[in-house]
Parts: sequence; structure tokens; C-alpha cells
Amino acid sequence: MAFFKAVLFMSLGVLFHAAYSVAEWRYYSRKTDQDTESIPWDIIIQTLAGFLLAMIAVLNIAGEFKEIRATVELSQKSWEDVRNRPSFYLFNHRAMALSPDYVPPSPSASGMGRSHLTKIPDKYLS
Amino acid sequence: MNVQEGRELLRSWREDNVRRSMDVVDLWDSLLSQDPEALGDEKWMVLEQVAVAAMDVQRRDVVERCLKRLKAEFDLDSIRVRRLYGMRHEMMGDWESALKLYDTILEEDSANSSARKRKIAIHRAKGERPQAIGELSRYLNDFLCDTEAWMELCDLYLEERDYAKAAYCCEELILHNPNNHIYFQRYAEIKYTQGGMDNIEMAKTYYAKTLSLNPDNIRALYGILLASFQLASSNKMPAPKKQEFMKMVMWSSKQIQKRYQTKNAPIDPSRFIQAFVSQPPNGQSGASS
Amino acid sequence: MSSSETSGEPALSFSCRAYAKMALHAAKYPHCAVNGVLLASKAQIKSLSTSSSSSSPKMLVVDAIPLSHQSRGLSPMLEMGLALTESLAEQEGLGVVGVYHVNELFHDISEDSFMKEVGKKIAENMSFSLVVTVDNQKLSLVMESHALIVRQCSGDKLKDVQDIILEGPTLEVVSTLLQRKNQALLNDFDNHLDDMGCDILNRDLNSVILQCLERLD
Repeated sequence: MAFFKAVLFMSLGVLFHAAYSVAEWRYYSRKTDQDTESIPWDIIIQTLAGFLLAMIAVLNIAGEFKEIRATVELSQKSWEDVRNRPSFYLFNHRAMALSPDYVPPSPSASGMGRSHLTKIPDKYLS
Repeated sequence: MNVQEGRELLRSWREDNVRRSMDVVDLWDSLLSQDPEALGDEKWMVLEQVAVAAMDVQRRDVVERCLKRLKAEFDLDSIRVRRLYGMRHEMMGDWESALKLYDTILEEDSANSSARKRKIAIHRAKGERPQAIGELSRYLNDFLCDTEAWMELCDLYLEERDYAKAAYCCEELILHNPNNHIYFQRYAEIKYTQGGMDNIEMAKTYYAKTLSLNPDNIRALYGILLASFQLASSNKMPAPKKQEFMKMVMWSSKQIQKRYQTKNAPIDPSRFIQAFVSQPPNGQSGASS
Repeated sequence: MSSSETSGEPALSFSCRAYAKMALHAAKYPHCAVNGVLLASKAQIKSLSTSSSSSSPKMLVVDAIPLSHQSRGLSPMLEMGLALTESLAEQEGLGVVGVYHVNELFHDISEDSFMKEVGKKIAENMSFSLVVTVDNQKLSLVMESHALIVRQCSGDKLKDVQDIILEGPTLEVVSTLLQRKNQALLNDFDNHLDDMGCDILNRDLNSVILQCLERLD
């Protein structure tokens, strides 16, 4: 970024120098009655070079361009992110259970009559 | 990672609407909490983002720290800070306190949409789906262009298995976002689930539109395959149309296989895709509810 | 797959892999309703299909394939996922024996009507299917009891299945995996559709589960 800022600064200097050169040349050509001659080639080349450098510098400073077609950017998105609705977020979900402070209900408190891992079936108890 | 990179990552998650609450809190713990001042202008937005993420993962210590800092700066005069305190009550399951707080916000500013949305979220959190739907419908009468709210209503109707109304909500989303392939895909899925030949044909059309907007959408290809297969299998379909749908089945199955080959996928779906191509039509009429 | 620790009494058992994948799927998307399918050996499914449907099924659920966390109530991708899973499972000598789902709200242990219909559709091909609801409240970083509410679906009827056994130190294994945040390794069908490089069979995760099981066994 700093490099391109330096290039931009330099290219503005080059353009300014070219403009000054044209002004000087115009002054002297009027003085020597050589109005009909076109601008010298070196000034034209210097102007074009300055313009090119300025363009390269500005394009790099401006950052990434966005795709002009709306569909291209949207095609990178999936429902995974589009579906999120921060204004409607709920917090009573199972992240509660996955927090280190959470203590699950004890198996005996389940009261659902489901057999627990360590329960020995009655017919094997003498 | 340094603070600047962490800040940019959080900014990109904020802008892209990503819900990676555990990652946000981990980033806060490991990097940003030591010196929040280094976040510069974005400090308050980051604190808000981290507070909400911490509520999402039940990290009460982080929530308290962030809210304390925000309250010290903006005081409870700020509606945005008060809303965060309301969400904190919700995190703790204290619905009454949260509702009271949101009501005070609405007394001050009756047009405050975020407080209204939180009240609707509380209905949903309590499992009161019909009330949530009622409130959300009234909200949408006032705020017709709220895409988030239409998406929420669509989801609520899907939970109620009212596919016709869910489809209507999805149509609103499409109208607001005519270039977004995701809404077209969602609409196609709702129509397919609704069942019936007309709806399945509509689903196929919308899947095709999804594919034209995003040629990489594999769900659209699968959807075209499934819908065309169901239509080709129907006894009520005239023979020329059946042939057309079978051509779509062949085309979509080839496209799917090509995608899997290009991406070097770890599974080979060719056997199950072949089942669609080679299975004789069985007269099934779609997955109606 | 290890044999269940049954003493010969008819019992439905879940392998460590099946239970772990259900729990990890639930943990990966804590704010979403998730669902998937359950697999058992084709031979067991066939023998149970011919036996009386009034008794509790004696079988081992070998594996669970996570399907969806974002398509709740919508059938197209679920149908595709089911078809793909059936085709892949067949190659391993397994078949679809039921579905599992985990509700979004923490205290909600009701059966999901949509998944119940999927269960019924699966039962059309066998005499029964399983509809498993995972109880969010029983999940934790240190699990003390299994979190499964199992119902057997035969025709239109749903019957509670009380006798459930887990393979070996499944609860310790799953607790360890959750503490290590191994749920990030899991891929479901929705992930696969977003990125076809994701392995829906979760072979890498299966090795991790096996390593953990061998260490704790």
C-alpha cells in the first residue's frame, strides 16, 4: 500500500512536470513564432507515462473491486449464513448443556421409566 | 493472530451475518479481552457482538463484563444497551423481566422494531408458536420490507407445516431480493414439500431458475432430478411430457456426476443416481405433508 | 462393531459410533434442530421384519448418518440424503432402520411430526422403524445417562422402547469427544451439499471415535 502511494505521488509529480514543460514550451514557441508545431514527443510520452502510473497506483490503493453482477457475489453465499437472523436469536438451546457449569439431571430424576445403563433386570436378582 | 486481524475477522463475521458464537468468544478470551481499547472505533460494536455471542454460548462472565463496559459508556438511556440487558434476561430464562424491559423501550419509542422482534423471539423461545406468528404478522403490517422478519415468519410456518403460507413468505423474500439464488431454492423446496403435480412442476421451474442464477448450486441440480423424476413417474402426465421430464432426469444426473468428478468428492454417488435413471416410473405423486 | 453388553434379554443397543455421531451432530449446531438416519445390519433388519412387531426390537444400531440442520420440515434434500445414505449403506451391508432428531428448544422432547412421517415411510419397507428423539437436557460435557427417547413406529402407531443399551464406555467416550470439541470434525448432508469434499460417512471421525473407545475400553 505504501509503495503504491509513493508511485501515485511520483506520477502526480511527473504529470505536473509535464504540464509545466508544456507551458514553458508554449511560451518559448510563441516567442520564437513557432506556434504551428505540435507538442514535443518527449512531453507527450511523459504525460502518458504519468497517467499510466497514476492509474496503476489508484487501482491498487482503491482495493478489491466488487463484481458488477449481483448474482456472482450472492452465489458465494449459502443458506448457512443467509438464514441467520440476529434480531430473532434464541438462547434457550442446547449450548446450555454444553457449557462447563451445566449439571445434567440425575438419571433417577428422569421419571420416564427408561432403563438406566447400570440397572440389573429383576429376574437376575435373587 | 494480532488484534488488527482479530478485529477484521470479527468485522467480516458481522457483515456476513455469521453465527459462530463459540469462535467469537474464543477470540475474545485469547486475544481481544486483554486490551479492548486497541479495537479503536469498533470497540463498542465488538463489545456488542461479543456480548451476544457470549449469551449464545451461556458464558455469563463475558456477558457481564461486556455489558458493564457498555453501560459505563452509554448508560441505560441507550435503547440499544437496554435491549442487550433484555437479551441477558432471556439468556437466563427470565422472560418476565425481559418483556418488562422491552415494554419500557416501546413506551419510549413505539416504532422500535428491535424490541418488538425480541418480544416475538420470546414467544418462540417459550414454544408459543401461534402467538409468535400473530405478533410477527402484525409487525410485518407495519414493516413490510423487513427481510429478516419474512424469513422468520417463513420458518415459523414451516414448523407449523403450513406450506402455503410459508411459500407466500418466501415469495416476499424473492420480491425483495430477485437476484438471490437462495430464496428461489428455498421456494422450490417448499413447493416440492407441499406436493401435488402443479407444485412439483413449479418447484422444478424454481430449481432451474436457481441454477441459472448460480450454476454451482448442487441442491438445485438434485432438486431438478427429484422433481423431474416425480413428474415423469406420474400416471396423470401425458407421454410427451413424461419424455421431456425423463430427459431432464438424464441431463441433471449427468451434471451431478460431472460435478462430483470435478470436485474429487470422497463419495461416489453414481450408483444412487443410476437408480433414478434406470428405475421404472412407479406412479408416486410427490412428498406431500 | 462391538457386540452389545446384553445378557441375552431382548434389547435395543446403540453402538458407540452411532450414539457419538448423534451427540456430536447436536453439539455442532446447538441452535438448530438437527436430524439424521440410523443404520443397522441388513441381516438383522430382515430377521426382525419377519418376526412379530409387538415385541421390542433386538438389534444393534451400528451407525448414524447426520443429514440436516437447515432443512427442517422440507423434504427434497431429506429424500436425496435418505436415498444416498441407503445406497452407500447397502455397500457396507447396512440398511436404514430409523431416524433421529434433536429439537431446537432446550426443554422440548416432543417427537417431530415431520420426522415421524419419515419414520413411517421407512417402516413401509420393513415391519417397523425407530424414531429417536435426543433429549437436549441429558447432553453435557460429562454425561451421566443416555439422552435417547426411542419410539418404535409400526404403521400409524408409535410405541415407547424402554430397554436401551449403549456399547461399553460410550458415555465416557462421548463426553471426551465433546470436551475436545470434536464436533467440528463431523459433516452432515447439508455440509456435503455446500462443499462436496465433505465426507457424509465421516470416516475420519469414525477413526477418532474408535481410537477414543479403544483407549477407554
